[in-house]
Amino acid sequence: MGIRKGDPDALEEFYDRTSKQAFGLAYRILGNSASAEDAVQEAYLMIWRQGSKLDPTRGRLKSLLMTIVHRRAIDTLRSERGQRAAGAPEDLDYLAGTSPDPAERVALTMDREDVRSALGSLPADQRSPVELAFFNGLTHVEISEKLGVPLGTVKSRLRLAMGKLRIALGNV
Amino acid sequence: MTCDEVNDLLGAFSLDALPGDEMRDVRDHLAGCQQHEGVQDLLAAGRSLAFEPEERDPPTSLKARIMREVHGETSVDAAQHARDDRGIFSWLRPPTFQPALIAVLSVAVIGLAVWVAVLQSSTDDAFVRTLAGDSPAAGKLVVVSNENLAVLSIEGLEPLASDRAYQAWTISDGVAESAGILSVENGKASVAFQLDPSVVDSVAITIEPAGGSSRPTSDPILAADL
Repeated sequence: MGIRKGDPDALEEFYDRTSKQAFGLAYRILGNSASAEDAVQEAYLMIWRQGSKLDPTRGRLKSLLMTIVHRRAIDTLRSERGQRAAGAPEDLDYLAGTSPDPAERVALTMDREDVRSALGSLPADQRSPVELAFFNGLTHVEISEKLGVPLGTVKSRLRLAMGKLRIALGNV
Repeated sequence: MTCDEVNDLLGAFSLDALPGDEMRDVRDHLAGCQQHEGVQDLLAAGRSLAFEPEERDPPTSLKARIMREVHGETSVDAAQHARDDRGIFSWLRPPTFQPALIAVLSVAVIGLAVWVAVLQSSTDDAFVRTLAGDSPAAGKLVVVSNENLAVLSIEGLEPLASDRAYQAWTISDGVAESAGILSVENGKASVAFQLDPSVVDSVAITIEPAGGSSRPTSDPILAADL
């Protein structure tokens, strides 16, 4: 049995193995335990309810969980700011994307320090907009206003930063 | 949107940092254009950032909450599988079968047209409630008190976008608990679930993200007090 077959024990084992990372991500974004718990709970239940669609690869499942937690937490942040959520489909088919990808390699082989090192290797003026986008849920326009730099500069820095991260994470 | 315009936005796109309309425009362009190599790697690099934060112990109550919900849905699923395998009444123990009760429960299968006729047949062990609300759909709830079971049957449900689903809830002391996601065919849906009428105050239907929510995120389209 497994999560795909609707086995609660499999979900419990998956929770035991992944919940610290999932909760750490939600807490980093939301900054309080109650909201972080909601995001994490919704993510595990989404995986449970759409389990029949899941790829059985362990790394892929963990990567998917983290993507869902991130999406839920950012939606909550944006909702608290009176903004609409991104509006992407709340469906595992969409969230899973294509495979394989570096996020799966992270889930399987890399540790947090690898990602931290890759992010830390970026110049501050590129790292800052990446963090504001990923962990604060700001759009490029909002980042431009917050940092006081032109929108074109923000687009350019985000593009450069993500290109570097793609190479750094792909080579680990 | 041109390829150059899309390339300009790919960094922000990979971080979900575009307004909704721009996200859709870029996504639509990428779906039909082969000129953007490495986009999947870029998206994956964005997703990898989820592993950067420090691990943190969640409260122990969180696991209990999740598993309680999971086990609750498993028992409902088991009841529905048993019903599918052996007929609509198979989850009732034989000694509890009563003609009037069977008549009441049969309406979940027969359809709303016969509901009114069987209302008179309710026994002390079963009662019926009508769901009402701002929806063209009509719903009935049969509660079998001595079994703590309920059958919800609705018709006239409007089609939803693929990223949305109808979800049923029981509400006790203001706390909603999922009673299942409705599988809709031709506007009709029915679902059986556990319901203790001495505890549950009302039943409601909301529209949620596909896959369901752990708590309602929108106002009920239909509801009934017990």
